[in-house]
Amino acid sequence: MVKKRVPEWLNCSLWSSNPPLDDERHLRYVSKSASPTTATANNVNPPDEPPVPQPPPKVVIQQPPKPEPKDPREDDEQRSPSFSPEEVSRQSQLLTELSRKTINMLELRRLTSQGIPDGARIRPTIWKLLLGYLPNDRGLWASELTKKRSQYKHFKEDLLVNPVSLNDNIITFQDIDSVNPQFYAFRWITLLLTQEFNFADSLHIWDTLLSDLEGPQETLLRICCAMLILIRRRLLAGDFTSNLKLLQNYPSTNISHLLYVADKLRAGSAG
Amino acid sequence: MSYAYLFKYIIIGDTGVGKSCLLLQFTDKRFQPVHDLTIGVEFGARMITIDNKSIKLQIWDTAGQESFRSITRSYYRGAAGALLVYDITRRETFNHLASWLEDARQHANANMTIMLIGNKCDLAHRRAVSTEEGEQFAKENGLIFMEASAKTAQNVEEAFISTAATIYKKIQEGVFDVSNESYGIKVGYGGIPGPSGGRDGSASQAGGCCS
Repeated sequence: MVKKRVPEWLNCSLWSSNPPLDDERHLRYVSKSASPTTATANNVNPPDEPPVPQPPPKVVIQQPPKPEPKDPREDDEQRSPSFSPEEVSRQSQLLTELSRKTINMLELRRLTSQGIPDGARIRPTIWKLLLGYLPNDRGLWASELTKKRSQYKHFKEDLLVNPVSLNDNIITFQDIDSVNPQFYAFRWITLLLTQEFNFADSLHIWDTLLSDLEGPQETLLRICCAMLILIRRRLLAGDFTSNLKLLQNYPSTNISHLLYVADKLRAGSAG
Repeated sequence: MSYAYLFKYIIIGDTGVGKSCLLLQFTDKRFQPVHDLTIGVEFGARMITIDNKSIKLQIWDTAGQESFRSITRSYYRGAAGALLVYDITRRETFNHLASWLEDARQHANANMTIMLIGNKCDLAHRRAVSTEEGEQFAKENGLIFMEASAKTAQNVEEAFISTAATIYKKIQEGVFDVSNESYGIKVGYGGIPGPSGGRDGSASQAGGCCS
């Protein structure tokens, strides 16, 4: 039931794992030239790049990252103040994968789907790969980045101008006391859940969204359904007013569990 | 919690005029200087009393951004009252009132009560629209008018309540067929018994007040 009428913007090539780099849309974006700031930023060894004031690295990892060290001062330490052995292992696997000349995307997806332990600040690079923003051939990264940065502005304008159409098939609870999914799911979907959860949890959700082979839209809809399932008792007990308030102010929840429930909703999966 | 009537409101107007802040001040009695941009629609509710009758206000706060305009339009239908808001410190938000009214006339029912609110009246030193201009616009278009401040709460209660009083008066005068929910009015328990008895009068949760 989920298949039909996916919002058009979610079908944008940027979301797919292998964007058709040579289609017209791509060429159209390229036509506007890059801004001066992007001109030198992508050299693998920038000779005289001005110092970047903010710590989050805008640029690709310049050396193949080394597997051993993990920096404990990571951004999302409120989520995972210390890494489990399993996360440490996943992180070194990710670092190994990222250091290959040609990255195995299937393996990268598999590792990422459980969340990126971002001690080595590899999330930006992994997300770029998953979005097809960077090709899996590291040798092409510098030239791709130059192109992509000039496209960004135009893409953003397109995204904001095109009206978003809501897929109202997603919600199984839509008839509860006339709570129309548009009343809450519009924001969930439009903002990819970023206004519903704190930043660390949003990152975790996006790791899953971007790494799923079925694509972000299917995964997003499954997560939305899981969100409803997790609060179904309160929804069934509540009236229109309390349900809408609940749905528009989603209670804090265990994200790993939410994603687990969402994963169980996969077609063909039992449960 | 039982009510005699339920009135549906919609809040409309340009982005940044303070629609969400007016709602928050009315339902939660607080002011939030930095508010998330409203995406789609936000919902609020509160009980008030008019003529010794409990009235539940169900308020739909819409996104003012132009890109959400088509979604906003879908909320006019079934509203008994509208708060049309502009920002007294930004002239363009006043200039756009006509286009908001046009949307309202086109998509809302003809008997919808519209309250024009010049918000941010605490910022008198930055005023760009005079009170008289607001009054004049309201008079020409048959609207109720008030200047208010979501920040200081000045006239916020009054705006929501006098809109409700006007709707209530129209009910007494028989303007609406209250059994027809498309007017944005529902008769609840404790009100005039009508064919449409209050559906969510059986609420188990404590009250229509927001928190």
